[in-house]
Amino acid sequence: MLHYGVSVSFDSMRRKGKADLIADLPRNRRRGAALVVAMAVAAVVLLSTMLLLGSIEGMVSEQVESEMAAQARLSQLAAVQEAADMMEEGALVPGEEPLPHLLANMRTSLQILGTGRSGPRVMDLDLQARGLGRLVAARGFLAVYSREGRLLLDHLDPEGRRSRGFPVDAGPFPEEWDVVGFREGEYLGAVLSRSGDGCVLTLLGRDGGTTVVEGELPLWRAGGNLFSGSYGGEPAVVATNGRNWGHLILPRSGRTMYFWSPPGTSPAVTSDGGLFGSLSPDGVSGLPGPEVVDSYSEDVDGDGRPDLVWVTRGGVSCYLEGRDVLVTDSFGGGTPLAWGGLSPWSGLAVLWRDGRLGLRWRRLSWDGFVDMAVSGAVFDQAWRGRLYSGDGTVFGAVDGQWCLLRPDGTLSPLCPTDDSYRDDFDGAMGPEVASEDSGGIRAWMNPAAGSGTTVHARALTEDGRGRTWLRQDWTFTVFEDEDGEREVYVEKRQ
Amino acid sequence: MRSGSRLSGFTLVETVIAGLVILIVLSALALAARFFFMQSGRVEDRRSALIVARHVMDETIAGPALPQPGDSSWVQSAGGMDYSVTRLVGREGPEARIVSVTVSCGDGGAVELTGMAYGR
Repeated sequence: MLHYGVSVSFDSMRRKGKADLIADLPRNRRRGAALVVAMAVAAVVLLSTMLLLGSIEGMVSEQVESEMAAQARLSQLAAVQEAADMMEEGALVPGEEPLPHLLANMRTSLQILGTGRSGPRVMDLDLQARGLGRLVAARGFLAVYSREGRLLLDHLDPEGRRSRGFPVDAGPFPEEWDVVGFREGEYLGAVLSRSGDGCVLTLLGRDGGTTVVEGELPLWRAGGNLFSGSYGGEPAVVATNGRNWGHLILPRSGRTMYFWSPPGTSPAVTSDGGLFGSLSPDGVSGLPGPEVVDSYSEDVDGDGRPDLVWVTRGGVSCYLEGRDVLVTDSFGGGTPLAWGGLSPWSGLAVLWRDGRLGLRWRRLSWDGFVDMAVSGAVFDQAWRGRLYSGDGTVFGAVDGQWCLLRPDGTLSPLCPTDDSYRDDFDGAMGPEVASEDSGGIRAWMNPAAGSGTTVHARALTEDGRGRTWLRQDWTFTVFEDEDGEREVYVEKRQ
Repeated sequence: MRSGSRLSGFTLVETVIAGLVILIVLSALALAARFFFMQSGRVEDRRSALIVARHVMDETIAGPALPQPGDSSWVQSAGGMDYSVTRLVGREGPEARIVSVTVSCGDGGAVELTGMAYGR
C-alpha cells in the first residue's frame, strides 16, 4: 500500500484532488486484502508447523541413530572379544578371518588387514610416580603412596583399569611398613606397619574396604619381608626378619605365631596350604640364619607343583614340594649373581662368582645342583638378580637396565632397574616390569614370554538392511609361551 | 463519507473467511506445537534412558567378574527422573554371558541394548 502512495506524483494530486485519489487508487486493490493477509499468516504458520515437524523428525531420527550406534558398538565389541577368546583357546589361528558374528540383528565381520610381530606390550598405567613407595602384584597393580603424611593405596586391575573403591586412605604414613598382595581369596593386599610397641596389619578388601588386625610382631623387619598365602584354608600373612625367623599371622582368626625355618631359607606357606617351617611358642633374637636376598615360588623341577627358592649372599636353597626335600648349594667364597629359570636348560640355573674359578653356571638336576656346560649368547651376559625365560627369550637385569635377550642374540634394554618394580602383576605368563616414566608409570607386560603376533583387522558392523553402522580397526596381539598358554590383547586403532 | 467507510475496511465475508483461515492454521500450529513438545519430551526421555542403559551395560560387561545368569529389575534415578531397569543375563558358554538391558521411559517406550560379557 505504501508503494502506491509514494508513486503518486504531486502534479496528479493537484489535478484531481486528494479525496478522489484515495478513493480511486486502492479501490480494486483492497478487494480481498483480508484474505491475502490471512493467507500470508497461514503460510507463515504452516511453514512454522512444517519446521516444527521437521525438527521433531530430526530429533527422533537422531535418537534412533544413537540407539542403533550404541547397539552396533556392543555388537562389534562382542564380535571382537569372541575372536580374541577363540585365538586364546586356539580355535582361531591368528591371521585367519572368523565367521561373521550376529548379535541383536547386527552382523559384524572381521577383515584381516595384515599380521606382524611385536615386542612386549607396553602399558601406561593410570598411576602417578609422585609419592609412590611400592608397587606390588595383587591381581593387578597395588600402589602404595605417601601423600601429605597419609598412606594412600591405589589399585588397577590387570588391564590397567582403576578398581572400584580406590584410592583408599589407610591412615597416617608409618615409619616402618611393608606391603604384600594376595593372589586369591577375599583380600587384595595387606600393609603391615609398626605402631609403638605393636604392629598393625591393614587388610585391603577387593572393594577397597579395610580390616585392621593388631598384634605384637617383635621379629619382623620392614623391607620386603612380608609374604601372603593361605594356611588351613584361611588367608595367611608371613612377616619375617629377612632371615629364617618370623611370624605367621592368621587375620581371620586374629592368631599370631612364631614361625621358623632352616638357616638359608625363610618360613613360608606352601602352595597346597601347608607350611614350610615350624611354629613355635617363642621366638629367638639371635638371628642365626643368613640374610635372604630373594625368595620366590615357582615350579623349578618340572613336576607341575610350585617349589620354593631362597637366595642368600652365599647360597641357594630350594624346597621341592612334590618330593618334600630341601636342596641347597653353596661353596666357600661363592656368591650367586643371577638365578632363575633358563628354558630349555633348567628350571633353576645360577650364575656364581667363585673366588677361585671366576664365573660359573650351575643348575638344579634330579640329584641336586651340578655344574652347567654353557654356550651361547645367554651365558655371555652380565646378568644380575632374578632371571626369567620363555619362548627362547631371557628377561633380566644387565648393567642397571632391565633387558630382553631375544632368540637371535640381540639384547634390548627396556628400562632402568632403579625406581622400577618387577612382579607378576597380571598373574599370567611370567613377570612384568613397571618403571617411572615422565611422572607416570609404564609397564612392560610379560616380556619373558617373547614377542607376540599382531593381527590388524577391520571390523564392519551392519544392520539387517546392510547399512554399515560402525567401521573400526582393531589390533589383536597374541602372546604364546612355551607351554602353549596364550594371552590375547585387543586394542582399538586410532 | 459512506464511500470512504466502505473502502477503508474489510467486508464481512472477507473477515469471516480470513478469521476461519487463521483459526484453522492456528489450530494446526497449536496441534503441531503440542505434538512437538510431547515428542521432544519422549525423545529426551529416551536419550536419558539410553544413557542409563549404556551405563548399566558397561558396568555389567566390563565388571571384574562374569555376571551371574538370571534376571534382575530395579529403579534407577537419572536427571531427576526414575527409570525402570530390567537386566537379563543368559549363559552362552562357561565363560560367556549374553546380557540384555531394557530401560523403560514412560510414554516413550523402552530402550533395549544387548551385549556379551566374556570371562578373561
